[in-house]
Amino acid sequence: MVKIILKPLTIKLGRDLWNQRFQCLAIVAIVACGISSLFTSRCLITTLKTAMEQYYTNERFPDFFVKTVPLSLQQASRVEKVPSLSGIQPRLVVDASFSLSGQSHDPLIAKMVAVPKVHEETLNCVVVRQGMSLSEMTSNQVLVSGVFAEARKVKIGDELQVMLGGKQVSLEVAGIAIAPEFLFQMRDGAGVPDNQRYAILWMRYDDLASAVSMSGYFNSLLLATRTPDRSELIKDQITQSLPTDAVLVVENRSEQISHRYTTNAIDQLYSIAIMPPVIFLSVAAFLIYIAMSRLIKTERQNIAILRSFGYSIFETGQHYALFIVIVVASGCLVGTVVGWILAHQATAVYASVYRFPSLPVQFDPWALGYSIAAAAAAGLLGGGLSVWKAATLAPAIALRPEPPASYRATWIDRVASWINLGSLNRMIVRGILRWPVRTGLGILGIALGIGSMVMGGYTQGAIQYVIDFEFFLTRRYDIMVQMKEGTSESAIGELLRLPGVLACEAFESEACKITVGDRQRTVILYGLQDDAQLVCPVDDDLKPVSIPPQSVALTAELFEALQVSLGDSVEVELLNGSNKIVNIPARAQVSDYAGLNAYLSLNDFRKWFRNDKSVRGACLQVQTDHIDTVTRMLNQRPKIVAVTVKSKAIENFLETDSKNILLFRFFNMLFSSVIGIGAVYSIASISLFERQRDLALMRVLGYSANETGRVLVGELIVMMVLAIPVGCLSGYLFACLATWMLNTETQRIPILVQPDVYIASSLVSCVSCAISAFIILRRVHFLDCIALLKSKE
Amino acid sequence: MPNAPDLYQLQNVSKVFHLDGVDVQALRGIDLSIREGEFIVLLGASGSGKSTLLNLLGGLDRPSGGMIHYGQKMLSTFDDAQLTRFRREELGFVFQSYNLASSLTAIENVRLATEIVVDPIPAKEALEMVGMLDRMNHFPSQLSGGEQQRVAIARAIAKRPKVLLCDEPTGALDVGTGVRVLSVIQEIHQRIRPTIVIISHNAVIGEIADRVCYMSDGKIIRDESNTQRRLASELQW
Repeated sequence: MVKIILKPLTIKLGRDLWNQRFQCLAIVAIVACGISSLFTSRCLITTLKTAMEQYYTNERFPDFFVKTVPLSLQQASRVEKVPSLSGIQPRLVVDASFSLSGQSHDPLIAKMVAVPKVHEETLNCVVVRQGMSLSEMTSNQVLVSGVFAEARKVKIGDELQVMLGGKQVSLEVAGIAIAPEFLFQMRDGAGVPDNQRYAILWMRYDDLASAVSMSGYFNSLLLATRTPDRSELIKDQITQSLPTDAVLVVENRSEQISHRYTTNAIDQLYSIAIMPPVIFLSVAAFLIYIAMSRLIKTERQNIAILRSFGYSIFETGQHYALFIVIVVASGCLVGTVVGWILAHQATAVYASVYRFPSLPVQFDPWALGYSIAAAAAAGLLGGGLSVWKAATLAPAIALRPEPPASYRATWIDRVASWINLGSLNRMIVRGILRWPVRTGLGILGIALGIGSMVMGGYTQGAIQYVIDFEFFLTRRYDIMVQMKEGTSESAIGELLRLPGVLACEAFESEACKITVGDRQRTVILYGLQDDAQLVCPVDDDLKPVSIPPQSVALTAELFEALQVSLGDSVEVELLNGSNKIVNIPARAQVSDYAGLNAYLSLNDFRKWFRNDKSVRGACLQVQTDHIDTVTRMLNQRPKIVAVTVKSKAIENFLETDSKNILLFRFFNMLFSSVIGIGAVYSIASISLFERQRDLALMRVLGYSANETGRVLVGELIVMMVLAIPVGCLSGYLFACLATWMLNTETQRIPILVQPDVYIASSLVSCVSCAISAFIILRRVHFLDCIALLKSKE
Repeated sequence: MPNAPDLYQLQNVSKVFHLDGVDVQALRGIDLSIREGEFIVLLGASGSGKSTLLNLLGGLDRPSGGMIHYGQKMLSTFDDAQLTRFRREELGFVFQSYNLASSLTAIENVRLATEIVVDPIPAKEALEMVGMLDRMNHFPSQLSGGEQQRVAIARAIAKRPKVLLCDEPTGALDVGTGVRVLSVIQEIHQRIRPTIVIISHNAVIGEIADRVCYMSDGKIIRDESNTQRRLASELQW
C-alpha cells in the first residue's frame, strides 16, 4: 500500500478550506455561474458559426439574392458578364395561400420555390431530411420545409390544397427539406416567425411555371461570387447586366432575412458572453476578498510562525494564494462542466429555431481559455491584496494579537441620543458604520444579485409590451387580407358585408428603398387611409400620428439610420419594378419595434405609385366569435391571395417563445439566487466571525440565542433594505445596457422594466436573505461561549 | 452568614469532556454547598477544574454526573431556555478578559445588561459604584484594562444579581489595578450582599473571602473558612 505523506502546510491548507467550507462553497457556486454563462455563450457562438459556415459551404449558400420582374430564362445568362461570378441560379418564387387537407381552415401562406432542373444543384442546394429528392419528384408533388412540417405535424403523403394562378391545385407531400436560404424561416416583413402558418414549398419548375403561366421565365436569381466583399460594385453590375427596370431588389448576405437574423442571434450571444460573467465574477471577487480577509485575521499567529521559521515572502504568499487558486479553480471546473451541459440544452433550443442539417455542440478551447482567465482575474482582484498583506506581514507585528475594534462616537450617536435605540440596535448601527467598505460591498453584492435578476426578467415584460404595441396598439385589426392586383374598390364593401365584420379599411404595402445621399435602407412602405383606425401608427407618447399630406412618416430608427431630421426630403423607390422615384419630405416620426417601416397616406401612395384605384390589401375588425367563419369565407374567394389572422400569429409566437424564455428565466433565477445567497451568507458569516465574542457575551448575560442573533439578522435586514433600491437601479441600468447591446435596426425591445419584475427580484433576494439568516442563527445557537470569552482579545 | 440558607448544593458532581475520542475528567465527585451572601474564592492551579466548576455554577454548562441544586430548583436538569432565564435573572459574570461589547460605550455596555431585567440598578448608579461615571461615554478601546474591568463589574451588578461569578478578575491586571478591582468587588459585596464566587490561581485573593476552597485534579482538596478577612486594599502579590 502506498502511503501518501502530505506536507504540514498542505494539511493546514486542507483544514483552512474545510473550516471555511460554506463560504468557499458560496464562492465556488458564484464563480461557476459566471464561468458557465461565459462558457455556454462561447461554445454556442462556435457551434452556430461552425454549423453555419459548413452549411453555407456544403450547400452553396449564395452571395446575392435578386428579385426581378418575370424574365425569360435565356436572359439569366446576361448576368454571367458580371466579373468574378462563380454561380447563377434562376428560379421562380411565388407566394400562395394553401390549406392542409383534413386540418382546420387556417389561412396558410407558402413561398413556392421552383428551380429549372439544370440549375438545381448550382446554388442553395435543398437538403432532403425525409422522403424524395427534388429530382425524384413527380408532378403535383412538393417538398415541405422542416420547421413547418414539424409545427404542423405534416407527414409524407399528406395533401395540400394550394391556390396557384387562381385555381386550387392539390399537391402531395413527397418529402421534408431544408435549405440554407431558409435557415431561419420568416416571411418578409412579418416581424416575427410564424412556423404554424408559413411554409416553404419546393416544386418542380415545369409544374409551378405552368400553374402560374410563367413557363420559361424566372423572377428570382441567386448568385455566388469570388469577391463577395465588393458588394456594392457587384450589385450595380448585376442591375446593369439585366434589362432596365427588371431588377426589383438586390440583397447581399447581410441583407438577406435568414442570414441577418442568424448573425444577429450570434451577435447577441457575444453580449451574453460579456455581461452576466462580469456581474457574477465581480461578486465572486468581493466574496474572495471577504473570505481572505477573515482567513488572514485568524492566521496572524501562523503567519508569524511561518515567517519566523524562515519561510520566505514568496512561500508564505504561495500558501495563501493556493487557497484562492483551489476555490477559483473548483468554481471554474464546475462552471465549465455546467456550461458544457447548458450548451447542449441551449443548442437544442437554437436547433428548433435555426434549421441546420446537424448542430453538434462544438467544444471551444478558447472558451476554456477565456473562462480560466476570467476566473483568475476574479481571484486576483479579490484575493491579491490579502495574500500580499499576509506574505509581507512582519513577524513581530503578526505575533501581537490584532488590536480590538476601535469605535468612536459619530453623528449617528448624536442623532441616536434623541431616540431610544436600545443596545441591540446600537450594535447593529455601529457594526455597519464600523466597516463601511465591507457594508458597502455587501450591499453592492446583494444589489448585483437583484440587478441580474431584473436584467433576466425584464425581457419577458418588454416582449409582451412589444406584442401589445405591435398587435393591439398600432395594428388593431383581427384579419389582414392581401388581394390580387386589379381588385376593385367595391371589394371593401363586399368584405364589410361578411358576417361579424365590424370595420374594413383598405391599405397598401410594398417593399421600397429609401435613399438619402449614400445612405439607403429597404423598408416596408404603408399607405393608410386618412381616418385609419385599424392600422394606427403612434408616436413615442403612444398618441396616434396623423400623417401630414404630401409627406412620409418614418420611425426614429430610420431617421437615425438615414441621418435626416424632421422636414428633410428622402428619396422613395418602390421595389415592384415600377422604377418610380419620388422625393418626399419626412414630416412625421412614429414609434415602432419590429422591422423598418414608413407610412404615407393612402391617397399619396396611390397618387405617386399606382395608376389606378384598385385595392391590394384590407384590414378587418371582426367579432371574435365570427373570426373562424370569416377566415373560411375569405379563403374561398379567388381574388384573395393571403389571409393573416392576428390572434393565431400571436398564439404561435408566444407558444414557441415561452418555452425558450422559461428555460432561460429558470437559469437566470437560479444563478441570481446563487449570487443573493452567496453574498448574503458570506456577509453574515464574516459578521458572525467578527462579532462572535460580543454574541457569546450576550448569551452569558442572559440573552436568548434568537435575541442574540437579532444583531446579525438586523444588520442583514438593514443591508437588504439598502440593497433593494440599489439593486433595482442597477437592474434598470443592466436592462438599458442589455437593450443597447441586443437591439438591432430591425428588431428592438423597449427599456421597460415592469414593477412586478422589481418586486419579484427583490422578493427572491429577500428569500435568499432569510435562508442565510436562518443558517447563521443556527450557528449562533452553537456558539462556544466559554471558549470565546476566555480567549484573548 | 453562617445561618443563611444554602443557595447552591452540589452533590457528587462530575464533568467529563469528550475531546476527539479522548475523555478528559475535569471534575470528580464534587460536593459543595454555597450559602446566600457568601463570598467564596476557589483557588487552584491551571487545569484543577475551577473554571469548569464556575461554568456549571453559572449555567454555562451541564454536569456529566451528580446534581446541582440552586435554591429549591435542580439546576443540572435545566434546558437551554431555563438556563438562559437563570443567567438573565440570577447571575452576574465578570471575566478575566473583561469582554465588553466593543461597539458600545461604557454606559451602553451596562444598559446591555439592565435592558433585559426588571428593576435593575440604573446604569449611571452602577457606574458610580465602581467609580467609572466620568468615563461612561467612552468606548472600550478608549479605556485601560482596569477601567474596562470596573465597567464589566458595573455591568454584572447592575442586574441586581443574587450571584456574582468572577473568573480570574485580576488575571490580566497589574497589582495596583488588580487591588482596585478587588476593592470594588468587596465594596459591592458589602453594599448589596450578593453571593460572590471568585476563581483564581492567586492564593492572596483568598484573604478577602469568607471561605476558600482549594482545588486540584478536579476535586476540592481543602475547604477553609476565613476568620480573619482582610481588606482588598491591604493585599500585595
